[in-house]
Amino acid sequence: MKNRILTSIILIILGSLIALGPIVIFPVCGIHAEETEHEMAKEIQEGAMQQAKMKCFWTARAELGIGILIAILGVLHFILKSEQLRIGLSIGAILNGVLALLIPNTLIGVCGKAGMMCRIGTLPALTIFSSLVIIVCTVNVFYLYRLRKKDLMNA
Amino acid sequence: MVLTIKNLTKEYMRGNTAFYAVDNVNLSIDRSEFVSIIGRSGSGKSTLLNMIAGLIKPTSGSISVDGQDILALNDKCISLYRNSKIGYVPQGNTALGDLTVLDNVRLPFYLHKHMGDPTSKALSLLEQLGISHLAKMFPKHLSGGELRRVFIARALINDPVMLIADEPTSDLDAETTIEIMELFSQIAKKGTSILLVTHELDTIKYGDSVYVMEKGKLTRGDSVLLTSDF
Amino acid sequence: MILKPLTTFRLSMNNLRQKPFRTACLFAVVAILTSVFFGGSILTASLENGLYSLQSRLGADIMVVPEGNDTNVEDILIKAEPSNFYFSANIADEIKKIEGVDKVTAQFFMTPLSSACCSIVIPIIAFDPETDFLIQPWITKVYNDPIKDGEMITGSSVLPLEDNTLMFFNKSYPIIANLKRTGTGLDGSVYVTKDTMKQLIIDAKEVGADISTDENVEESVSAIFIKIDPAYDSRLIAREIKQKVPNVDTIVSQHIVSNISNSLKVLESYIHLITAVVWILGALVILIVFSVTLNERKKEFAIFRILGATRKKLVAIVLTESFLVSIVGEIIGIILASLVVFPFSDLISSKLQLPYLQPQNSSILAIIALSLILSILVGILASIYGALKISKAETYLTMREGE
Repeated sequence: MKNRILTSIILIILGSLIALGPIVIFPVCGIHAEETEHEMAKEIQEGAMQQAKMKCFWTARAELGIGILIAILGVLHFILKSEQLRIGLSIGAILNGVLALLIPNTLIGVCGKAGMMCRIGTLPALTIFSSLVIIVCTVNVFYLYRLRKKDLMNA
Repeated sequence: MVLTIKNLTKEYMRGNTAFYAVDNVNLSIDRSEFVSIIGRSGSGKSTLLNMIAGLIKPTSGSISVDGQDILALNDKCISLYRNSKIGYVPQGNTALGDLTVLDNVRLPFYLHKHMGDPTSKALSLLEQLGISHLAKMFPKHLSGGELRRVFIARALINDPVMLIADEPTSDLDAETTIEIMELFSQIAKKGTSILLVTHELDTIKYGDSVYVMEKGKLTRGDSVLLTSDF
Repeated sequence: MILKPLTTFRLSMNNLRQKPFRTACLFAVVAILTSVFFGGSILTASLENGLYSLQSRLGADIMVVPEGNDTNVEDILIKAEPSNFYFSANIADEIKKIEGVDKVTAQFFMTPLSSACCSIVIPIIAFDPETDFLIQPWITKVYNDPIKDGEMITGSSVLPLEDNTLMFFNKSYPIIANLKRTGTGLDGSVYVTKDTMKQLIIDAKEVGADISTDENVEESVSAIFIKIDPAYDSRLIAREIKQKVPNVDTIVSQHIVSNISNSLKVLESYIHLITAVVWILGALVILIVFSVTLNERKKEFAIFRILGATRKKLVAIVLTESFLVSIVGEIIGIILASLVVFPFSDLISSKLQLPYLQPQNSSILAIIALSLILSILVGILASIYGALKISKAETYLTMREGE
């Protein structure tokens, strides 16, 4: 009972942070439509900006989706009682966490310029949050697995 | 003589008047002897036991256990005395709820340096007392009688010369009382002296000698029993 | 069956395990104390390290800039904010004549001005490799040849493209060296020769970029850096320069350092104050929790005494519990603080707007050790009072209480 609530809450919180972090807490470039097209075109010419929508923009989009998914897995973890199902959900969350980790680091990446929010804020934040998802769910899987073994032995 | 008490007195001040919880008590207990002290509550019997256990210091008099004057001992030595020379079965529930039955019994072994294997000794004691199947359980799941046996096993883990018990059957039903008293008899026959304090009349037939404690004074009790009611 | 012996350690562990909520609260309090201390110490150490680094990196004793631009220099040094200002290169020759001046070198700044959020500006600085004593000594990745035209040297936080080049105004420039990290705005700059700068200005014009710069790279400079003979006083020479050369401002680098040092001291005193308040409150909480729970455990301790435990043993059990709480809480606290302070180091630096450079690993380890000792001490002090009181109580009295 306690495990169900604790793990679900952690997953929901981490999932929300992964989804909203790059948008609200550590906003990446272009995610808020402040720049006009004209300004952006000028910067591209100057070489100050490499392309219209930078990598961090796409990373943020991807993380939005993954984060929501992780949060949903958290809700399901609370609802479903069966230990086996919860082990499955946790494994799913681990894999999502790995994806959330790889996207800003390797698969898509963030902007190249040092000093930009996506590099100094969003990247470390996403790395930490996704790592926490992986760690918490791995512990959860082992815990539930041992619990199931005990139940099977006692039955 | 395993226990020799001479002129033991414990005086308290109630306001301005002096009050003797224990008044000039003399007592000797031999090896394998089973002694019962019977008395009402407030008669001073618990105070007497606590002094023998070294928990209270008397106002005057002497206590000698196995040839050793226990009043001269410092905290470390008297703790060792309480741990290995005697076994104390206190009144009520004195189990440590966070430890299993087996760990409760083994605990005194670890409080001072001892030789041997406490686990097998504890298991053997539990078996002799008929509760070895409860070894892994926690005290809260045991009945009154079962707990009492645990405390007796615990008191015996370090092979004391004397077992002292404060009202060991007062919270038990008649049948369990008989079982526990039989156990004490067997322990005495095996060589451990027993000093038992109680207010239950039925239990005194198990002992070798009976004493009566009243208002701090101790007297030999066979004749009194036929007339008094408790 | 072989079971583990009931040592003091195991008894303490068992006590903690049986009261999980209370134990978790104690862990949390110690963790908070530790993370505040550790986080605050790392912050302070990084700030001081940053200042030290700035000091040693300044290289020059005096900077000479066009009149009215002295505050801008600080901006460039600390925050790498754009500033373009220029005066005649001949001034360097005038300065060389002054007695006490040892070395003189000039730099030309060009910072493309841009307003949008995502283009972090990279100041481009042209220097003279022959007279330079500021940049070349700090090159870490060593390339044996001196810088040529069309090549760039980058500060530590400028990230190159995959082929180790940078793109400016549609042209690609290879990077031939990196500079050591300073924790200041210098890390975000790029260094080129004068000819390269000329080319960059032409390219910028071609793409229509707004660069607000003086185009005459041969005859103009932005700042002149002076190293003086140690026997002379930099302030006096600075005054002399102001007297002899019209329309300039002088900046003695010591002033910059002491200004920053003052800001630093203010910030540090806030950190210390917060840390002290948190520790006092935390220690009180631990003291209260331990006292209250030890009181509840009077009967338990009375049983121990009856079974023959010495007073020393009881105290040992309590102190071991407190020690375990300190260690575990400490570890949790350090992990939590590390998750904030280390990965977000650059973010903190840019928000504080002060030089910020993480200290060496040995310093970090020293801080960890210190915080461990402190949390153990606090734990012991908080519990020892209760422990001694318990052990002195007359056991039979406490037993009677329970009845």
